[in-house]
Amino acid sequence: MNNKGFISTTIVYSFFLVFLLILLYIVSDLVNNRILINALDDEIKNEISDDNFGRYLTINADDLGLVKHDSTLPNGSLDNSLRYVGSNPNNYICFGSEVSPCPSENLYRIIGVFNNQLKIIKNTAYGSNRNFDSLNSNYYVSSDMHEYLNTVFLNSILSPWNELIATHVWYVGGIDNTFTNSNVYDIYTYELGSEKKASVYINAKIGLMHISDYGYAASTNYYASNITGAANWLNNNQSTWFMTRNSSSNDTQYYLTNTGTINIVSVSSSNQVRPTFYLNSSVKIAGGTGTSSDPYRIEV
Amino acid sequence: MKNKRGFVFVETIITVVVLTTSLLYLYNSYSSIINSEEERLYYDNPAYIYKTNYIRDFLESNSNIDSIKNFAFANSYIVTIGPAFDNMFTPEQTASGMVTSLENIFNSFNINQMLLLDSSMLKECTNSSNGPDPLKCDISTENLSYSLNQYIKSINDTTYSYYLIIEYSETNATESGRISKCTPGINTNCNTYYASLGL
Repeated sequence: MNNKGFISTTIVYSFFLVFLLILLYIVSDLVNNRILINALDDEIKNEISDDNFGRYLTINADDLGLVKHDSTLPNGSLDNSLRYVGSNPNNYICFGSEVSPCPSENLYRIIGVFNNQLKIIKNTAYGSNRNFDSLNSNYYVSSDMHEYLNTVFLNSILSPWNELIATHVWYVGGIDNTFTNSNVYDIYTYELGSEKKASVYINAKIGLMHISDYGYAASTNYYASNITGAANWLNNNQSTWFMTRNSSSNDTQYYLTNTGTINIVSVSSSNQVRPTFYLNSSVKIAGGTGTSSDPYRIEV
Repeated sequence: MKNKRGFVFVETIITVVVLTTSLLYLYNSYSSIINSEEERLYYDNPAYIYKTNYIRDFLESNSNIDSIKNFAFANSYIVTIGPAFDNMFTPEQTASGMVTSLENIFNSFNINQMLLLDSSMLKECTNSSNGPDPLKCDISTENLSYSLNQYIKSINDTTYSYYLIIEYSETNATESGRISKCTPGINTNCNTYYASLGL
């Protein structure tokens, strides 16, 4: 039996296989390095955004408890917004003052991030309860409420804080009177979604929360149910005006009842007013953790 | 009688299969690395990310970018913006000289184009389907260069609703280290770099 041929062939093969293994190792290493460098580029892109408030909340949404309303969220708004949900998320923000601790009159809460703009609502009522309109009309553009919010309230916010408030499009066409016992998705569809009255809007700085803002502030497992106020941080058990008019009449408006449900009432009734507005997308975060004792701070 | 067996057929087949598989893997990985290297050089190079970040800060603080996001995307997912774009600045910002500032930024940073991208395009205008509005998908890309189209296709992040995309066009550095702005396709040695950030 000729063993020399077998041995030499084996040696040649072994060298070749070792060479091949080394090549495979080098290529795998290069591929891994490429993956790491791409990850580094992504990290640079994300880290570079940290001081912008909207992008800070966007990048850290999962850690901060924000829920993204995209196609993966059942009964969501599909507007790609990020919203705080639940009984008491850490979404407090101090606006209008740099004093520490934040005065209660300057304490607001973040509803969410909409196209990189923060939408915030005053934590407590502004002023005493008041009617929506003294002339018994629920047309928002000409209402006392619009005037009150965009003159009295807005003028109470001094520079440079008032320059941080964005002029925004507010859809005020309203919804009909069949939605007092509906889920938030159906309400949103007719209030601000695909079935909204798109031609009825106003460009303004200050408004009120919409019913869907309230409904989507509940834990996500409530989205398919009628709005009850359960597990909802926007429910402060006070009767509060919504932005949403009852389009079935000329003199009634939707409001949040003191039990957390939604209902319709005459515009001459007195309810709590919680001003709501959007901040410019250029607003930068200066600190804070979002708790009531350590609210987020804005750089001015 | 000496045994003059050579390699049997099965051994040969196994060897060929192992070698072929290994060489195919090597070739595939090598091609992937070369393509990735080109992308890494011209796409989202950190130096240009930092430039883009500076421009983004400028636009957010000194332009009408929030308003543009609301009205400019009715018919297209991509909007080319710049100093001459309608409503790029409010009258107050224009009076403050922001148009000139942006023009200076374009010249200093060798910017060829600046675009805003509605990120819903990345889901709705994929290769396999043109989504709910095929015409809008076509209109969005019909005036873009091939290389810009390829960069946009490489973006797979939809964290943000809008993205600022900037195309930088620069010559190679001369012996004295000078880099100049150039026009792709017209000037020789003109390199195009792309960077994008969420807005």
